[in-house]
Amino acid sequence: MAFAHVKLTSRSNLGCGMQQKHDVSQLVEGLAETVGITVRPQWRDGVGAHFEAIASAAAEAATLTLDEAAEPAWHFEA
Amino acid sequence: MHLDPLLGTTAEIIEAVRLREVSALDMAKLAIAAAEAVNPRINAFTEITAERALKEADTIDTRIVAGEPVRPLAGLPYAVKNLFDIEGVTTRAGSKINRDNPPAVADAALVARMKAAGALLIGALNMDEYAYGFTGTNEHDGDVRNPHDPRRMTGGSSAGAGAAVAAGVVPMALGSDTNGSIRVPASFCGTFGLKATYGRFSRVGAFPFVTSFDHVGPLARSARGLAVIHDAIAGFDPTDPVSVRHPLMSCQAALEEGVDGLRIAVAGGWFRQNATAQALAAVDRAARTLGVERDVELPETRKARLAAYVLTASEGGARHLGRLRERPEDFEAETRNRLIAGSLVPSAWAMQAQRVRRWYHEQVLKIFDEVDAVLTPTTPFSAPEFGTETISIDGETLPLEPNIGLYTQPFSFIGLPAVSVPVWLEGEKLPLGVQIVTAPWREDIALRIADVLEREGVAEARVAMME
Repeated sequence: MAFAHVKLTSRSNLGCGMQQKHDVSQLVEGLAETVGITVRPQWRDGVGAHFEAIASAAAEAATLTLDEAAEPAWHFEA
Repeated sequence: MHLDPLLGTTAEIIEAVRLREVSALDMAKLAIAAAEAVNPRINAFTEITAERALKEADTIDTRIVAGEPVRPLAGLPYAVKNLFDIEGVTTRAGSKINRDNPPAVADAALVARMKAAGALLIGALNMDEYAYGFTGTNEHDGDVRNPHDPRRMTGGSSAGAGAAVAAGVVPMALGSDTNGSIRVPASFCGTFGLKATYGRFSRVGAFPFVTSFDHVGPLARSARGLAVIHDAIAGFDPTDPVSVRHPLMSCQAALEEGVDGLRIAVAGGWFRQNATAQALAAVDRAARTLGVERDVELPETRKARLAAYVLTASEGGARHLGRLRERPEDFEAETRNRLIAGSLVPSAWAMQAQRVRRWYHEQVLKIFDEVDAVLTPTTPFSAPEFGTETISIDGETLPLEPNIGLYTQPFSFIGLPAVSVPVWLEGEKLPLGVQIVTAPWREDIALRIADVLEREGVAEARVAMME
């Protein structure tokens, strides 16, 4: 499949080794509150679906084996 | 010169104005009239800047009559995606929220360069909200419709740019490309499109989306038109933090070299998967014409694209955090949901994506030690009808929108130059883009190949016959 959308389930791996303790809508709501965004009830499913898609993408990107010293692609130049 | 001056190419129009076969004022009036006549059917323009265009045209004509040197784009009508600042006009960036901002106090850098080169600004163009989309749909300003078939999408996010050029309203337009937003509408609308090397064109005064991916550049009805525009407006801008002081070459002059001696390959692997037979046939037709016999494979492109997806969401979400806090109801629902999700991405995910990015960049650059250019489809399919949510390829049903940028996103991810050329396969009623990708700063090579494909009759930007 060209673009994976992995449905997260309770205690599933949320990409990069992070473990999910709550369902995604609760997780998203809690994170959003932390950064000062209000997620209205009718938006939860949509935001949650996108967060799952990002988590899935991040998890697959994390499977690329890189050297410990592999640098991120920054654009800052001193 | 075409019987209708407005339907000439960029180079033809400039030459006609220079030779005083047509005045700049006539060109401005023709383009304004065309925009007003066609816009109700394609919804490409959000603003027609008639007064400004007429004033700019008058200045050009006065200078030409006075015998002053003719500027490189003298009398050329054009329009810009409405994320570019236009002095005196509010910069919408496709949004409801930004239209509450005051009018821009100055032109964006590229608009200023177009003006200095003698071009005539006809208006601002519709786009996906905040450039976060590939379809050309917009709840605030209405959907942009494809001039070749108004039931179909233009592609996005430079949707109005693709539509206005394909409809023959303007010979060229400026758009932006974060993950494919110049090349996708070029493919769906059948125009040429140039996403130059990251840092080649100044982005100052263009409303940002994902700054580490954001490019700006032209769509036009010919490869030479792209070269003319490149030569007129590319170059270092000390006020753009990512602008690079890299030597500029004349792309117009380079076109005379043709493709003899160039090492061109077709991209295999990822770039042959999930495409319709027509998209692959378009690439193969271009390859046959160019005598290409070699394939190359870009490693781990799927993971690179997923990393690009993570970074787009993360940087985009961070960009809009304030607006998501204060005016979430004023976003389109889909844009808001995506941006909120992106604003919550843990930094470890983004950091890994940046590590993948550097690695992928290094791997792809090695390929350009062996070849000068790589051909891929621009999009996996031609313009879908509005309301299409899935696409069937090789018996597999895939979600439409996430797959439109399959082949464009990997190259904006690492800043490589790419030109999309329009190909009309025999019997097909819609165009498809073929993407030509080169090493950094070698826009000249991509444009040489595009120009040869055009001269050989493989690439053609047809003006839509709108009834």
